[in-house]
Amino acid sequence: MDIQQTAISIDNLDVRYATKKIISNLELSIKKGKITALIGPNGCGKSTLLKGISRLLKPSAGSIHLGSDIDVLKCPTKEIAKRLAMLPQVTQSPQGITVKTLVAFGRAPYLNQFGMLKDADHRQIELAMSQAGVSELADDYIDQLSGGQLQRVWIALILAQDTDILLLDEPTTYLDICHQYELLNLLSDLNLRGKTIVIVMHDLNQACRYAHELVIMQRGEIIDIGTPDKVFTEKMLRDVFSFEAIVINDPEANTPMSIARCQKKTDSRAA
Amino acid sequence: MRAHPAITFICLIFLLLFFSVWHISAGAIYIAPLDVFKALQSHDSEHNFIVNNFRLPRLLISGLVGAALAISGLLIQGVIRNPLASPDVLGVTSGASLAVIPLAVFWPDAPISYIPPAALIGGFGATALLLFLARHLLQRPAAFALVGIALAAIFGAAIDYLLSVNPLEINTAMLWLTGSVWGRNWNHLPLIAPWLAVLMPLAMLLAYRLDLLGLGDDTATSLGTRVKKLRLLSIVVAISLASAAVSVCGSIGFVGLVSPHLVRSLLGHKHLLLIPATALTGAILVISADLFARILMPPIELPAGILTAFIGAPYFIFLLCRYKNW
Repeated sequence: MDIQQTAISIDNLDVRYATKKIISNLELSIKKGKITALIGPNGCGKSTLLKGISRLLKPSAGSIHLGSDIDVLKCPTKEIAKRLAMLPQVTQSPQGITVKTLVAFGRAPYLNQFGMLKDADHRQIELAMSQAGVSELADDYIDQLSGGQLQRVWIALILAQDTDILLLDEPTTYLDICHQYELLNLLSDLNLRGKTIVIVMHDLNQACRYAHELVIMQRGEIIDIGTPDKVFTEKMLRDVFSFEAIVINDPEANTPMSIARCQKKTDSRAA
Repeated sequence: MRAHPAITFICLIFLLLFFSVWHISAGAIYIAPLDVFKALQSHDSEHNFIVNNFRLPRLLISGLVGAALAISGLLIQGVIRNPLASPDVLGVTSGASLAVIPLAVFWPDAPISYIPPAALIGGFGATALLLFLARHLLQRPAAFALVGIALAAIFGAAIDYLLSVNPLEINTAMLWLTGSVWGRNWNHLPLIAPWLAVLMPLAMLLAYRLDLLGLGDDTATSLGTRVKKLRLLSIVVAISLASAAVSVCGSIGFVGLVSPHLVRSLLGHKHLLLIPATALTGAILVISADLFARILMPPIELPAGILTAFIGAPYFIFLLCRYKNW
C-alpha cells in the first residue's frame, strides 16, 4: 500500500492488561480519509487495540506511526494530541459546566499552562460546535442534555482538537436507535470533510453501512480486513461470531447486512 | 446561576479582613478595630506590643495553616476524584502528627525546625501506606475514605499510647494535637510561610491540567496530559502542604474537606479560580474558628481544631449520606 495513503501503521504490537496479553504481534494499516470499523465478538481486543493506538494503554512492544514519520510512543503526548483524537466509550463530564466550556477542553493540546484561549481557539470551538450541530446548546449546562445531545457535544470536543484522525470507542452504545443513526450520519459527514475515522462498533449492519473498511478481530488477532462487500460473509459470521445468519443486500444502502437465522428452523429440522 | 467570580472573590476577601480585624481586636485586652489599624501602622501605639508580638503572628499562622489545609484538600479531592477525601479524613495529618509526637515527648528541647521534616515523613508515610492498602479501592470513594479513617484511628491510638506512657509532656503535646494556634509566634511563621509561597504557585501551574483530569483519565490522556505524572505531582504538593500545616499547629480537622466543597459550589470547576478561593476560605475558617474558640467562654481558650470539627464533622456525615451509592 502506498505510504501516502496510510494514516496509521501498526507493527508488531503487543498490548497487555496487567499481566494478561490481549493483543500480540498485531500488524495493521489504517487508510487515510476512510472510515474503518473494528468489529469482533466481546473480548476480541478491539477496544484494547483502540486504547493502544491512542496511548491510553501503553503497548508492551511494537510501534505505532501516524503518517510516515510520527511515532506515537516516542513523540511528546501533546503533539500526538494534535494529530489524533479519541472518544472513550465512557465519558465523564464535570457537573455545572456549559457545553462551550466542555468543548473548549478540546483545545488543550494547543494551549499554555493556564489554558488561556486565543481568538483562533474560539473560532475552532465555534466551528466544532457547528459541525457537530450543537451551536444552539453552547450556553446550556451539560447536566441538562439528553444522551444524544451529550454525545454530540463530546464529538464537538474531539473536533475542537482539530486532528486528522478520530478514534471512537463504541460511540453509539448508550444512544437510542434514532440518535445512533444521527451520530453515524454525523461521522459520515465528517469523513467527507477529510477526517480519517476509526471506530469500534457493535452493530454489524451499521458497520457495513458506514465503514469503508472492516477490520475483523478474534482473540486479539486480525482475522480479515477489507471492504464490507468482500469480508462480510456468512462463513465469517459463523467462524468469528458463532452467529448463524444469512447475509443479504441492504436495500437502502446497497451494502451487505446480516439477518439472524431462526432458532425454530434448526429445531424442526432436527425433529 | 452563580455570582460572577470577581464578586465571590471580593466577598471572600472582605470576610477574611472582617474576621482578621475581629481576631486581633478580641481577647483578654480588647482593642478597638480602629486601634488595630493604628497599632499595625505605628510603633508608638499603646497596643503595638500586644498586636505585633502576639495577635498578628497568631492571625497570620491561622490564616496560612487554613490556606494550606484547604489547598491540600482541593488537590486530593481532585486527583483521586473523591469528594470524601481530605488530608485529615485520609489519615495524612494523623500520620504527620504521629511522626512529630515522639519528637515532643522524647526530645522536648529539639529545635522547632526539626518538626516540619518529621511531619513530612509522617505525612508521606501515611499516604504511601494508604495508597498501598487501598490501591484497589480508588474507584470507590467511600470505601477508600473508610480505609483512611481506619488508618487515622490507628495513628490516633499510637499517639494516645505515646502520650499515656509519657504523661509528663502531655500538656504541650495535647495542645498541639487538638489543633491549637495558642502561643504561636513569629518563630513559627517560617515553618509554614515558605511552603505555601512555593507550593501554592506550583498548584496554580497544575490548575488547568487538573481541570482536564476532571474529564476522566482517558480523555485527559488523549488531550495530551501525562496523567500519572500530574497525579503524583499533585499528591506530593497536597501532602507537603498538609504536613507543613500539621508541623505548626497539629491537626486542624475538616478545613481541607469543607473549603473545597464550599468554593466548588460557588465557583464551579476551574482550578485556577478554585485554588486561591479555597485558600481564602480555609484561612477564613481557621481564623474564625480560632476567634470563636477564644471568645466563646473566656478565659478558657479552646483549640481551634475543636471548633472546625464541630462544623466539619456534621458536614462530612452529610456528604457520606449523600454519596452512599458510590
